[in-house]
Amino acid sequence: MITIVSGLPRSGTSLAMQMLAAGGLPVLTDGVRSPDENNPRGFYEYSRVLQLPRGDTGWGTEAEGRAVKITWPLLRSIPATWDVRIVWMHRALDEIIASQAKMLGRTGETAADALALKRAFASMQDQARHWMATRPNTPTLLLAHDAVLRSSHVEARRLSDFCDGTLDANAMAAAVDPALWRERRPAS
Amino acid sequence: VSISDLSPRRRRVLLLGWDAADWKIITPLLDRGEMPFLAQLVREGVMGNVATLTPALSPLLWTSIATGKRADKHGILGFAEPRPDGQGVQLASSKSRRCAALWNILPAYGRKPAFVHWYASHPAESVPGGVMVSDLQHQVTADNFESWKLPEECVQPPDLRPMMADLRMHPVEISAEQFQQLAPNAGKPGIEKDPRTMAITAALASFSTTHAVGTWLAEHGDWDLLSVYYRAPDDFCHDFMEYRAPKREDISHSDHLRWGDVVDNTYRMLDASLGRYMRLVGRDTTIVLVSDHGFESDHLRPRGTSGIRGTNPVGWHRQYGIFVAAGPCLKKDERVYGASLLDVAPTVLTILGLPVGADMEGHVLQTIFESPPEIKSVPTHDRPEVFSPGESPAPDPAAEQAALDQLIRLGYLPELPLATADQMRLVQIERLRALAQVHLGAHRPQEAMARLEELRKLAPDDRGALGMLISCQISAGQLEAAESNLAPILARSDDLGIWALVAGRLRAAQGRDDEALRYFEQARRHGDDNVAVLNSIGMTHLGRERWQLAAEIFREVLALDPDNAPGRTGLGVALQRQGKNEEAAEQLMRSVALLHQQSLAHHHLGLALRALGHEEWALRAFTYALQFHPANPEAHEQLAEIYTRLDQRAVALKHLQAAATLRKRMSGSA
Repeated sequence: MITIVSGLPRSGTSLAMQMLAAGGLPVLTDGVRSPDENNPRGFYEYSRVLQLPRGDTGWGTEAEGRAVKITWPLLRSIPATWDVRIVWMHRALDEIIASQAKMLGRTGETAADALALKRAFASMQDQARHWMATRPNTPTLLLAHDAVLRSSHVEARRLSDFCDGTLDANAMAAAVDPALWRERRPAS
Repeated sequence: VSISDLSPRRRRVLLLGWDAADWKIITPLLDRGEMPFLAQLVREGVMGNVATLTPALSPLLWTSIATGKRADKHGILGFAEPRPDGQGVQLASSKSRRCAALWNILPAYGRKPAFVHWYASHPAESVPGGVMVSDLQHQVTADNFESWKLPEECVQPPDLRPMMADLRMHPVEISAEQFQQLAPNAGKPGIEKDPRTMAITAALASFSTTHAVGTWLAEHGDWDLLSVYYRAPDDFCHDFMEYRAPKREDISHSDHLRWGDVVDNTYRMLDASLGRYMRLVGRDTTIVLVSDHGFESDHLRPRGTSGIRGTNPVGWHRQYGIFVAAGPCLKKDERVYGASLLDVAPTVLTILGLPVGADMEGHVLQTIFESPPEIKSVPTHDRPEVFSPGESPAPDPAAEQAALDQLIRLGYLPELPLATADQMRLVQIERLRALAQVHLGAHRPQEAMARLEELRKLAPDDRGALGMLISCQISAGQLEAAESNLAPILARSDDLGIWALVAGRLRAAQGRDDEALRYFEQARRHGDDNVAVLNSIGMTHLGRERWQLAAEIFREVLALDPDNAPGRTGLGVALQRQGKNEEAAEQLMRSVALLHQQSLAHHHLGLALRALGHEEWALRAFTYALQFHPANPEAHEQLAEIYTRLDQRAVALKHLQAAATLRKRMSGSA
């Protein structure tokens, strides 16, 4: 069984990976992308994930029994034969878009039009929901980013239960640092 | 016979799709007795033109035929679409469709569909009790030419896979005799490496496979609606129409001799195929034959090649396809007028005794029935128990591209090879262009302009998009915006080339007629479509109330192309304005029979009919005029007068109020 942490990029997938790692689940990363201002605790990424759409799936055996981060839309390229469970991180689209804009801003780049992005990301979320619902034998846990930060113990317990109750929920909750929640949506 | 009297067995429908079939080619063949089976179908049923939709691209059109909705609603926006993982492009997929198609609707009512080779039908959807054979089942590509493995997920139910694999015909299996039936003067296939011989064998193989699968299902399948789509006629037209008689100057005698008969022979072959179906399904089954658009075949053929790799393949598509229907409850030997592709799905559902979705955009072609059919209706078929759009979000190519670009820049998606990135961008641009054209065709210029602005962000130098944008702005009365977009081009040169037509239209809208006519002359010299230029000149004269002059110009248009609906409307308007109401009514009726969705034609038809004393017919005409262009206070006023005479004062009052509101809004915005 491979535990996949997924979601739209900047939805809190690294946070979920940190929690799983703190709880005792081995994680598959290669450290190619090192911690920076965007993810001070690291990205928890495995670079071969990027090659999934081109058919690079041989590393599936390495991921067995571990957690690996595969954001959407790359997730849909995993082979139908992989035995997986999916932790899907949900975060408000405005926050995702603000977080991506900040990340681009740090390199002097400009983000695309926020309204267009919101439309596209909303449709990507629909695609992901449908894809997960129709993939046979695929347990899915939805974790809300704001709930994890507000009620880390409750959410860590849910995550541990989803992983057969084998992880240390307290350690997982302790890995959550609400100070990193920096892209709150503007008050309406 | 009324449909409600028919047993379910006699409510079966065979829907045949002949891509690009055109009466202009068919009629002489019928007259010479060279399409006997179609002649029989026409004798025993109804026939007429069917107006295509814009843009005239087959995947959009055939999906509209199957759904009764335009492409902005059904979601298929082109031949290709971005792969959902953002890593390239793929053929338009059934997963991108956003609404129920006939094959989803029938099983919801316990009826059995069987669909063969329909565009954008891969992967084949599972339809309870029915059969789906996707458009990839017969595909032969360079990658699979040798192995020719049946693609995954192209057949539902899967236990039909072995049979569907066996029924395929590979291009290498095409015999010399088959080849020579199509091109008797071309020599033997394979003797030379002429791409045209390859094109014939490939299209013949595709045709043979479609025919084999379709007739096998007709004979052995348990179905209520069998729909078989033939792509080959469009393939043959694109590859060989330029060689057809009358011989063009740019075509050599030897090419004309060798390839000039291919198109007509294709129709003879289609007729033989139709005959086989007619024998298999019997007279109890209603047969509906439809094409998605026509194909220019005479002096109106555009310049250059008709090939799909030419500069303007869609320019060869004619606005009218064919519609024929024959069956137990339909009229015999009659014409049908004003049909649109959007009417096919509601009409087929009605023949089957099933409800039409009220959100479908077409109408049941009621005049084809012997007695008025019972038209059942449901608000929509897009209900979870019928169809779940699932992962098919609203098509928004600009937003998709922006998001994918951003994820690549952020490192969450791999950098695409340059060629793939270009291919993706190109596909998104064409999807946006298609969406803009769909909106334009549905008289929604504001939405079209929004899409064109997005397109121009992706492709700032796209001249076609700029031309369309300026045309939209002229139609919407945004003349200053149009002027500022055109100004840099006007400043560049006196000879505007391809921009002369649009510049003329802008000047005409601005009331600068002399300049407009100068630009139109330039457009004619540049070799633009003569009919379009003449129509623009005619409209300029109409705008200045030069009725006689306008009528002369529109008569020139009709001498070039008697089926040109805008030209016939222009002539009708000019005649009506001169008080020649009888002639005007005739021209305008012919025009709306060609193309129903014309507000201007219906409006002036209403005026002419009123002048002739046909108040009730005029009522219908003004109602249509408002349906296609609701912001028309004069039509409301005319209706108010008619309803007052009919002593329906409440309805008359409603129209008067609507007219007053519109006039107030117009004077406010002026």
